[in-house]
Amino acid sequence: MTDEEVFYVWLSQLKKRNKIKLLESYSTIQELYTDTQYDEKENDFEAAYSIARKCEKHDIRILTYDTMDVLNGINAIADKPIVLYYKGNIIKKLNTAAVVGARRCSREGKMRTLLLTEQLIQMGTTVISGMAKGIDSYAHTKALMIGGYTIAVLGCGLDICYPKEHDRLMKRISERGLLLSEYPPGTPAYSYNFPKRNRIIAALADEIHVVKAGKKSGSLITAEYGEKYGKKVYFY
Amino acid sequence: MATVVKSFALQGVDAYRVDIEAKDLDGIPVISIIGMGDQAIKEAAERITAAIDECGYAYPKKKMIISLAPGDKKKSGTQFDLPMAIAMLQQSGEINCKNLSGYSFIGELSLDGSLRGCKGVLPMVIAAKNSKIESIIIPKENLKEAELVKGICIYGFDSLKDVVLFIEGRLNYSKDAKSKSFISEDEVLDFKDVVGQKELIDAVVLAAAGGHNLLMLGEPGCGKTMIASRIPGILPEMTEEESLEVTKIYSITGKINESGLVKRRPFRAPHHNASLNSLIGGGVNAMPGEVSLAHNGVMFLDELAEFSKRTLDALRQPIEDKHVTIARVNGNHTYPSNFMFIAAMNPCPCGFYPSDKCKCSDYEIIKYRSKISGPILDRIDIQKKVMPVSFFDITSAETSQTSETLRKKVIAARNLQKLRYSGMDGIYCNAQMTTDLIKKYCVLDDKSLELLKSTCEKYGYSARVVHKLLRLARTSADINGRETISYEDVECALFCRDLDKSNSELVVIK
Repeated sequence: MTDEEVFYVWLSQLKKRNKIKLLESYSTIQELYTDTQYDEKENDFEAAYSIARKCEKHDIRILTYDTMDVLNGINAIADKPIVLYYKGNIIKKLNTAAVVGARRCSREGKMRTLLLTEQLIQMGTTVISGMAKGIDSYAHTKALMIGGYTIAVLGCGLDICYPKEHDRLMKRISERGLLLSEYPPGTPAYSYNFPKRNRIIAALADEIHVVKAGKKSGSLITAEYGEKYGKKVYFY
Repeated sequence: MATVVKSFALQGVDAYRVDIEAKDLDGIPVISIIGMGDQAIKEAAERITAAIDECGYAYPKKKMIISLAPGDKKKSGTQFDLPMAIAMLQQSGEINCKNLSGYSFIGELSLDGSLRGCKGVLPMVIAAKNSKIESIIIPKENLKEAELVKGICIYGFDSLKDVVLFIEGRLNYSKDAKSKSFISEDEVLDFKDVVGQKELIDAVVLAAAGGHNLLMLGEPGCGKTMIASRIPGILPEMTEEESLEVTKIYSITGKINESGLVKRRPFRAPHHNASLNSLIGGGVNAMPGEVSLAHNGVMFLDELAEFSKRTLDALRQPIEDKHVTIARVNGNHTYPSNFMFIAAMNPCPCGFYPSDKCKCSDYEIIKYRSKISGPILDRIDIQKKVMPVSFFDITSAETSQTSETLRKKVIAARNLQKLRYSGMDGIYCNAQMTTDLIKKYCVLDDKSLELLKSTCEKYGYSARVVHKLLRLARTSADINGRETISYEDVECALFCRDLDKSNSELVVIK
């Protein structure tokens, strides 16, 4: 990780509002760093360095606010993350689609997901999902099984596998697809982080397929974001 | 001069002779017991004192040393009470037995002078016979089990007083007619009570006939336990020798019932929180565990996935070697553990896969199933799905065959195998066939081979699974009395890998 990237990590961890505004008012991140004065600055920077070391250990790389453009559609997000951690290969494809849905699903929901994913992959579409139990896992698994490319956006650090039984799936995605997260390695799976990551799924996808979502399902949050960003949303 | 009285101590499933020596010395009147006895043996002094008093004999006025020889072996149990009391009384001159060396004694004393039964009488009587002792005196309670041994005079008594009178020649032993078993033989569970489940029962017969282990997969309440508990009933009856082996194990664990010889094949179903030691054997004295109690019978583990991994993996050796060695401070004992292994588990964490009630994700299911380690699954040839039976179907569906008919099939198939493997060492049934033997005895015709090949490709079976399938096909042919394996036999074998089949249908990254 470059020094510049470490500055970005530092900024992303800063407990401050309007970080994006602040970032845009400076031409380089270094200037922002030297200009910002507060008591714990040294400690915070040290913390950013330790995150960088963790990233190197787990082979996690980062995209910063400025280099994030390689991911189509990410700029649609108003509160774009300062950094995005990623593991795997970034491949640009023409079409992307999110396949999200219930964690507890029926056999029918599973079958529908498998069929849908197969069709999407055959059209050369990237399948994006959240690697949660149920529909999400079927979408990723099917995509990988038929040799497709898939992106998983997580709500925890990329060194943590949640749910635990997906360890092999996660490993395979990191080899053949892409794992994304805005949270630094070591962040446990806090429930409040998961709805937030849905905005990234919604932004990256050209179209959103919601399978068998219940009334309180997090997939509906993805759908809402999708509508906000002007994406086509399909419900099954 | 010291008095010597013979008795026995247990070591594993066998017993050895212990010489009990008593010697009185001038000094304060106390009883001092030496010879590495446990707490129960130390406390014997108090019981003996009370019992002697109760029977009207005088307590010795001298210091009494009692030694249990050999003195370098740890001994445990209460069976030394009676011989110690006899030795003391003889030594202090209270009684006068001319032919003490002709007898040996086993028995616990009660404070009122009566005799109580103790554990492990059968192996002790066998040891007595082997060491050429003419007669043995035991508590009446243990008479049934002791009488299984022929060629030795066995006398059962109720009290210390009677024993003394008898060995002094003042009482004639009369065999109590009442000691006959008045408890009726316990009811046998029969397969005719099972309704439906024809496929599963066929699999059970296959398992019993070929010595294959069996895993049942099914919803809660579909009859897994009901069927498992009926399996001992379709196995061939135990031979005299087998019965004696089982009885010995039951004797040392104190589980013998009034009828003496264990004639029925044991059925053991330990709960899934069973500790490793209770399953395999252990404790200070290295006592046999469930695997040995199930010897020559059936061991049924319900909810297999709920057993701790450590406990399950410890079963590998007993299943494979048919015996288990337990090492403890007080000894290193080997117990037999030749049992038929029957297990049951739910197909998924909620129990209802593949019905629509199940909401488990495929990753959860595979995680649940992988709680059972590969080596254990490897020892299970038959994995059978159990279909739930609806109550309303039960009333209309036909009942299955009786255990008697099923047993006849099993015995016929086993006899064929006995003949086939007669010259071979360590191989008794189809499940034990080596790869060489499979090549020799499991020849398929082209049509069957094609079926086997296409199915294995479809579900991605490994070579090892194919070998299992061939062994199962052989057993199926044996049951049907066929010399060569037919198409139906291969079909039958292919129906027996439901877990593999189900696993291959899950959408997961493996």
